[in-house]
Amino acid sequence: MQNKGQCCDILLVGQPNVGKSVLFSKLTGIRTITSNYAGTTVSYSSGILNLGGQDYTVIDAPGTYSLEPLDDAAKVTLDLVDSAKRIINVVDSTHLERNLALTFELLAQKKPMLLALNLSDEARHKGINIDVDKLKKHLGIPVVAVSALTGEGMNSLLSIIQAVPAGAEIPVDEPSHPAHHPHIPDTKHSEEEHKGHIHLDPKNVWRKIADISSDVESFTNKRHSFTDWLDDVSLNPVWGALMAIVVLVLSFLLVRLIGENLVAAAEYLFDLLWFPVVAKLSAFLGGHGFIHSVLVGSLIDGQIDFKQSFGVLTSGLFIPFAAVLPYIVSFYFVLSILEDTGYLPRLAVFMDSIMHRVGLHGYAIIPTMLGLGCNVPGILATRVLETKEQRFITATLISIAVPCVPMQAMIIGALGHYGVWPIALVYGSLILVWFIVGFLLKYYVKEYRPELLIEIPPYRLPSLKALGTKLYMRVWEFLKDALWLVMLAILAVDILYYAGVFNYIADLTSPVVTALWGMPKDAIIPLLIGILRKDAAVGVFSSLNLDLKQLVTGIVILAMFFPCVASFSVLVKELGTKYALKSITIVLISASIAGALINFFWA
Amino acid sequence: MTSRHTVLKDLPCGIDAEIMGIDGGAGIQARLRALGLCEGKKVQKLCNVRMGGPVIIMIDRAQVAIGKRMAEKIIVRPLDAK
Repeated sequence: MQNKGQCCDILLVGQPNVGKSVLFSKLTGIRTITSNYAGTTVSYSSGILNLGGQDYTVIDAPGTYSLEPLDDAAKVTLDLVDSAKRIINVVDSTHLERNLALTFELLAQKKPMLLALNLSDEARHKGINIDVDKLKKHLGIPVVAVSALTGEGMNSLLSIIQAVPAGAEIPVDEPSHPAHHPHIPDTKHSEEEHKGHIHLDPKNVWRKIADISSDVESFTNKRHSFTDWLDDVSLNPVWGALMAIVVLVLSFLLVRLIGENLVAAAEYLFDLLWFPVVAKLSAFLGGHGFIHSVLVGSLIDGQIDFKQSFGVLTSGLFIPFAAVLPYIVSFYFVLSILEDTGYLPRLAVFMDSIMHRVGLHGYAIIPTMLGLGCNVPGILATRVLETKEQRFITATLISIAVPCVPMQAMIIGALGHYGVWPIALVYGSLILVWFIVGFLLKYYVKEYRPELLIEIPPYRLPSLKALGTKLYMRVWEFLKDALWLVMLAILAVDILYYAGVFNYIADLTSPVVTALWGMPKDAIIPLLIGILRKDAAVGVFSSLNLDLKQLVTGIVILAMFFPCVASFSVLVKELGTKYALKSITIVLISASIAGALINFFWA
Repeated sequence: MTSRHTVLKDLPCGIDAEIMGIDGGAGIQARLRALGLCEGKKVQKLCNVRMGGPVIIMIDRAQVAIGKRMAEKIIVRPLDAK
């Protein structure tokens, strides 16, 4: 047990959505993304807990219902458990009985372990009381009630961590009878054949767990609360479907309302504070020349235009900060509310029958919704789906038909002044493409299709602190990963234009761009820039003097076309080269066809 | 009244039932067991989501949504109607 590679001093293991990541943040001070649905943590994160001058490495394992290696999360967890010095089994106090199934599997691994009864405040509100001392005796390991969100019980948890020595057997509080010692009597396994192949007799273990939970749990009646009422409505067959539509429409309107106002504020600030600076720079550089066109860009009617000049210091800052960032803030604010209240799994329930038409089940809506923010986390989140085929279909559909927030912000900016219908046309085309490609993929990938099987978490009031942390993390990620790419994309446009490279490429591709898609040959430039950043690429489109038909065609093609470099690398990493190339082939073919169709049908 | 076996999908809404068995392979059995669904467990059917959507049940005070075709494989015995 000791001579294996070590993952960590403390490993947090538990079923999905029990709050492992909240506890992890509390222990290590590392910010993590937490939500109210199963599968938020798809990989593991590690951090350091300093306790009494000693550093402990802590790992937050992805949630798994069982150690039986049925899916990737279970396999990852099993490997981690194998090499961890101590385990903290995080348990949802409101669903003790089901959680204990994993606890028993962990006990069979014979690692120093303690049990953290998380969500104890929520259990109390629900009228569930757990006798901690009795549970301790039944399991033979330390048990402590905590609420990672409020910090309740954290001090006793910390002192117990120090008391549980690494690698040794756990100090046992006199088990009530020997049968309840960590060694599960009903197992027929020998020491040697462990590592995930513990053959517990499920029925006996289940009985034992049922006995333990009825012994330690007691219930007091609680009143029917507002969230119960909301629960009844949102799962009601008639009202639930209506509510799904209302929630989505309201979310969209809220994103636009907040986004538009923030954009207006940011534009005002740019004009007030930054315009005089770049205007001086432009005058200093003489209004033209290579340096001027890289830094300031081209003057539009003798003036700097933040949207069209395309200098690194003009559009290069304006696009990320004034056009995109406001929508990043508003989109993730609204998405975080949907995540933390627990609405997303309910949406998955109502989308189930629709998602079956494209060979998926309802839970695939969650990666898709995340993909609307940025395709990278969306594609990563496909790990919550059970099979490779589902992950392939979902990731391909995200790459083709789900535009990210930065791109959507620029689309709204480019088409907004033409009215609502061009924007509706772009979204309508993408939704149609999503269905058609999905429908075809369903027949192409003829595999066994798993059915939806999810726990619907209770509605929770989002914690403002968790919302703030999550928003901060996502905004920071955008600034860290995207800002330099936007500026690089604009630099590339300037230099390649200046060097005349684009003319050469445009001549080469003009048969497709002009004849098939009905656009000027220059339209290939934004499509190529889209490989770096799609938001910057939309900006290039709006500076090309296209008519509305060409602009809409170009934007739809761009949205569907080759994914940006960040999404592409994640696609390769998640699907493997072979499947990623298949996916890209489908992307390119459908983008070409869609562009041609819009061109031919738009009279 | 004689007890009649049916599948979870066809059980009327609002009815309590006991799971009698799961007509599926080891994979499905394990996935269901992870959420507490196994032989002998008592569940309450809440509803069928329309248009071929999943079945929603209450088990161990948790709501679980089960895809239609999976719910067709779960054999249950209705307990007394309320």
